[in-house]
Amino acid sequence: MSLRRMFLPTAMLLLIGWSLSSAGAQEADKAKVRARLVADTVEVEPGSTFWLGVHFEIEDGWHIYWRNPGGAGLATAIDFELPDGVVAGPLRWPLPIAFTQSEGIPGFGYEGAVVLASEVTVPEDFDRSRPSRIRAEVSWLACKSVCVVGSAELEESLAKLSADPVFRTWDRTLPRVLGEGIPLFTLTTTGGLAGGTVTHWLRWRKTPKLVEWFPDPSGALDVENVRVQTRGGLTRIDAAVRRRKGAEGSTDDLSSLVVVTDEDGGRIGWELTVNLKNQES
Amino acid sequence: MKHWMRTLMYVSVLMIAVPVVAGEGVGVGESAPDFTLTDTAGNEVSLSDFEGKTVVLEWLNPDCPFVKRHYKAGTMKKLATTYGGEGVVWLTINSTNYMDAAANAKFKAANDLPYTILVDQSGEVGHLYGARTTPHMYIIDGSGELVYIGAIDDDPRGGKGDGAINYVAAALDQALAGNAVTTAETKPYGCSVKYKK
Repeated sequence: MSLRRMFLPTAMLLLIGWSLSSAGAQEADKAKVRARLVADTVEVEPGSTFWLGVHFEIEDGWHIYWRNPGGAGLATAIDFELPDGVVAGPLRWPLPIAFTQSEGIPGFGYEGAVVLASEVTVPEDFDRSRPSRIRAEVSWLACKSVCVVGSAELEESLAKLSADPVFRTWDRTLPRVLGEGIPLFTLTTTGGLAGGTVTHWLRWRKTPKLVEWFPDPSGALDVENVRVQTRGGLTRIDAAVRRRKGAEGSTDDLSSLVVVTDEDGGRIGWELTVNLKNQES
Repeated sequence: MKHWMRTLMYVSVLMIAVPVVAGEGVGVGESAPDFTLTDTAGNEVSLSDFEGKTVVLEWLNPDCPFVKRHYKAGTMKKLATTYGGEGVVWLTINSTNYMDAAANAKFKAANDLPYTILVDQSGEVGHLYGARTTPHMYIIDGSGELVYIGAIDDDPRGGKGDGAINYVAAALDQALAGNAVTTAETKPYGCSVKYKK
């Protein structure tokens, strides 16, 4: 049997969709999202690492959400249950797209298909001879003109993993860390919480076709009135920032993604983190 | 240094050319703007009708799964009943563009709701308050000041059960006791309000 076979035909897959609407009952009466467990390895060796994730296939016209869904929506969630000693790292999120959910309410997420995955570390003393299963509890909100909550419980034996083709190009969909590789821009930031506005200034080596910005603030931080302007080789990203009154959580930093699209439609993104306390106001 | 100088020059030019636009909606500590809408029976209802009372505004869309979950659990009805006994007025506003008075009346009857649903198909009041999600909750104290804006609770996925913190109940307890609301703002969660385009 091919090593590149999809390894989940035998996996337990339970899809649950709750919420139908009178306006969209016909649209929402079947699953809009299919989820399956995927890995990038065949052999799980003691002391090794591999990528384990969920491949979401989303029906045309529908979307699911990034880690910050935007003004409304719900982040997609995956909870891995792994054998003793096997540890999953943080979920890696490919570059999202931006859409308008309803008059002026921004949304960030995915259309078509996406893989969300974690790097899994296998301990040195891992006993491969013992039967081991991996399990993922997955939940998402899928929206079009209506929204449907979906969930799946995915399960598979570690011994039956196969290297899924979705991982061949997956790393190209991930954001880069600022400072890795040849810098395509220099970043300067001004403003902060004290002044109520933070501005990212990006000076590009080559004038970009399109620049997008995806804020990912803590729950205590409100980010609104985002405006991205690119003129020549300079992009200015303004955002109003303020602490929600009484909300728990840090507002020291603002994490975000900046994504540039080239003439061929290719997208590259970088993770940015700005300290809101120390910026000039 | 030269780079910085160039950047600052661009800053100056751009700041003059494109000022940041202020957002819509209301904020905690502000006076709640008055509005008038019709209820499911066609009666006009104004916020100012309830002057001196604590008022809860709840944004509704019966088609939204988050709203469905809370109505199945009786979250809003229990709160409205409990705090109604202490004089709190509960006003539910539906800014969904395709839901008219009849659709709201049907939902009110099906759920045997003890409170008013106000029809805002134009989205005018939703935009006035900056409502983004269903549900999106606002509390106005007896002096007419907004004292809470945000989520109904801290459980967007609905998995916390009795361990969930209901922000509206906590805020009402503090407001009715004459205390400042500790958690006065939270990020609302739910479906986007389906405004008229």
